[in-house]
Amino acid sequence: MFPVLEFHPQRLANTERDCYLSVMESNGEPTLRPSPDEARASLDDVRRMEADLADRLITPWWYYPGLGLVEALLVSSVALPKSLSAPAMVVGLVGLGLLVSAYRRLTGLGMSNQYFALARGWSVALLVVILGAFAVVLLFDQPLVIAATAVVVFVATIVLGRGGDSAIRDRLRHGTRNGKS
Amino acid sequence: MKPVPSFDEVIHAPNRLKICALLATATTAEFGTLRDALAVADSVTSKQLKVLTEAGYVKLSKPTGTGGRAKTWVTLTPAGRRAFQGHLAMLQQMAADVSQGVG
Repeated sequence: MFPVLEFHPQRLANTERDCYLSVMESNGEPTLRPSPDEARASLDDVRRMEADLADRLITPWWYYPGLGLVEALLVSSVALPKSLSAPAMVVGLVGLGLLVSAYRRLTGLGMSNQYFALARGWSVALLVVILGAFAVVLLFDQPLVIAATAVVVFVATIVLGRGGDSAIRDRLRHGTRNGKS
Repeated sequence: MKPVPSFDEVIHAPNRLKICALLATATTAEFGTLRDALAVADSVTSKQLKVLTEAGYVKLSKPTGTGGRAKTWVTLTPAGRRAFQGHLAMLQQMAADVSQGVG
């Protein structure tokens, strides 16, 4: 007896589903759609790209000290006499522009608000320190208090900035973004 | 807000998906950085960026006046971010389907 060759439409359908690219109809036009396996492979590509970005997000050593100096200058400037306050602010803002420009040139990457979202806790902490420093300088117009506040802003910028950088790299490397694990 | 899963043929091509994945976090990147991250030639990177630009998903700029050779910067547009997030959500949905099928 010869074996009977049976036709299994369900098996054929599953094979089609698992093809690298399956053709589906969309608005009358044939559309290439990925199989579930290919979807997983694409998600792996996205994760690898995020890990690659983490390796590229290496902040130059001078960036946070520079940013700390700029922020300390801006905070102190509000307590300076009016004739000095405006030039100090201009110097601070120009310094900030130069820092960001140098960062972009060296890393080939822009300053993104997504970084703040990835290190939300660190960003909020730094913002609180800076706003608090402005309040202290405005309330206590004494040279010693202003100098101490500027030092606190300088140190906090370096510590919180570098902590935030590590948090961003960690989240990108381990795929904890968007609920991925 | 949770993105609506939506398959996007423009983004799905491997190199374009990688470009969008990098820009979804960095927002802006220099052409050479993207080329190195993809590990492909300039011409391949240009071709992929042209498709994304025509779809309105990225925009290119070449700032001048800084001296030296002007570099091309690529920025993900809000439409590009929405499309990428929707596509990513769709891929996650499809991957979840296959996980459930295996289990």
